[in-house]
Amino acid sequence: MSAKESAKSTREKAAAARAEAEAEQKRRDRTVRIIGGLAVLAVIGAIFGAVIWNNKKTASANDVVADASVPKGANTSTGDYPWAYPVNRAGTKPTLAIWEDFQCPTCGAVEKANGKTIEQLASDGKINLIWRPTAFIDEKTSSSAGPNPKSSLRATAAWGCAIDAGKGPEYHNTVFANQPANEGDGWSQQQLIDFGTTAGITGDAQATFKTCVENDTYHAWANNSYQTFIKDAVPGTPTAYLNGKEVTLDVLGDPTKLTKAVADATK
Amino acid sequence: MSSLSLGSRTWISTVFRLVLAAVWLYAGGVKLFQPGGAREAIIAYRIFPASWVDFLGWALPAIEVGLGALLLIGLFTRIAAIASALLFTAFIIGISSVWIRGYSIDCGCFGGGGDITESGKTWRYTSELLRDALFTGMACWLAWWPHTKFALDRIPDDASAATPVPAEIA
Repeated sequence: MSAKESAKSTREKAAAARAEAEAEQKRRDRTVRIIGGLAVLAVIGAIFGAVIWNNKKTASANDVVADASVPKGANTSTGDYPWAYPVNRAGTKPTLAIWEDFQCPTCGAVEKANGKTIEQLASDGKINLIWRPTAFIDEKTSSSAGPNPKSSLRATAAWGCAIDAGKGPEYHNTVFANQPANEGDGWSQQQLIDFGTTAGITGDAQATFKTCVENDTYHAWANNSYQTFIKDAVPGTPTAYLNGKEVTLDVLGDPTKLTKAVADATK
Repeated sequence: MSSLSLGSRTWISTVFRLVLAAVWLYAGGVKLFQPGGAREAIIAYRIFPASWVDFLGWALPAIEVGLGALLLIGLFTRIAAIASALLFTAFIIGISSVWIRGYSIDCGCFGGGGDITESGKTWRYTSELLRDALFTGMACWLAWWPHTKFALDRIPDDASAATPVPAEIA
């Protein structure tokens, strides 16, 4: 065997060994990838299984009560705006439906900036105004653990009692005007009852209103509307629809812009 | 970038990989502890029909946590980086689309929300777009140079450089 051949053979051996080492490394890489990939999948699957299961368990308490009693003039499960409160009827004029949560600061800001004009448009018969209550902030803020849990839902139910007393708009405005400085602090039962007095519910009606609030008479109605909000995937509050088309916040909060939008939507 | 040595490129990729891992694990993790997952955030984009949002609300954090986990351990780095870049790009498109249509991206009810002024909205959208553009850039870099330290991956292209050839064969 010549030196040249011997060198060649050594090179071949080296190459073979290298190939073998590389193949071995590749096998190991593949094992790592498969095991690692499966492990990541398994961990994520386990986490999400647990989370979704836990979520389902809590969500089952939120079912709609189809035959819930509703405040005077409020909608039932039927129609385009189930469980909503139509403030007025203006025939073929445009319909402005506004989703609001009593605890939502932006709703308070819109009410302050434009609430008067919105109600004026309704009383002038230029729009069909529909208020749609929701209570999602109950789940989002510390209110569920705070001094006044479920404030959005309770305020909505109390509002239903005020609607029965004929003071729907007044009570609605009183609650928004008395939003706590800190979102989620909510209102006590006593405050919700006192708001009735502020809204102008007096005499016999006051006693009826108080009993209605204390009995949480319209809890199911309030929750039904909230569940409709969830089911319809409404993007937060306030969300307003003029003839079914979403109105942006800068329009909803501006008297001039909203009045123009209403005029444009009027045939 | 050719002026950068292989070593410093590897280190930059490593940093990007870990930053992106942290971003995904945080973003996905936060959503996991919200009712409905990312449901509300997805609704806010007003892109998907109501019947999709329950599923997407959990699918999005699942994908985010999955990408975060892969990037953290450095497995399938290139694939995870490409997927990250695509997802960030989707967010950029989504945010721009909401902005152009004039909607508020958050419900306006929590934390920094509640700002209905135009300047507040502009600042919010701009900062979110810039943030996502930065992450997209990092993900693209990582997809281009996926060879990193402390990773389970061995990148085949660079394997010869990474594995010293045995000098002596017995």
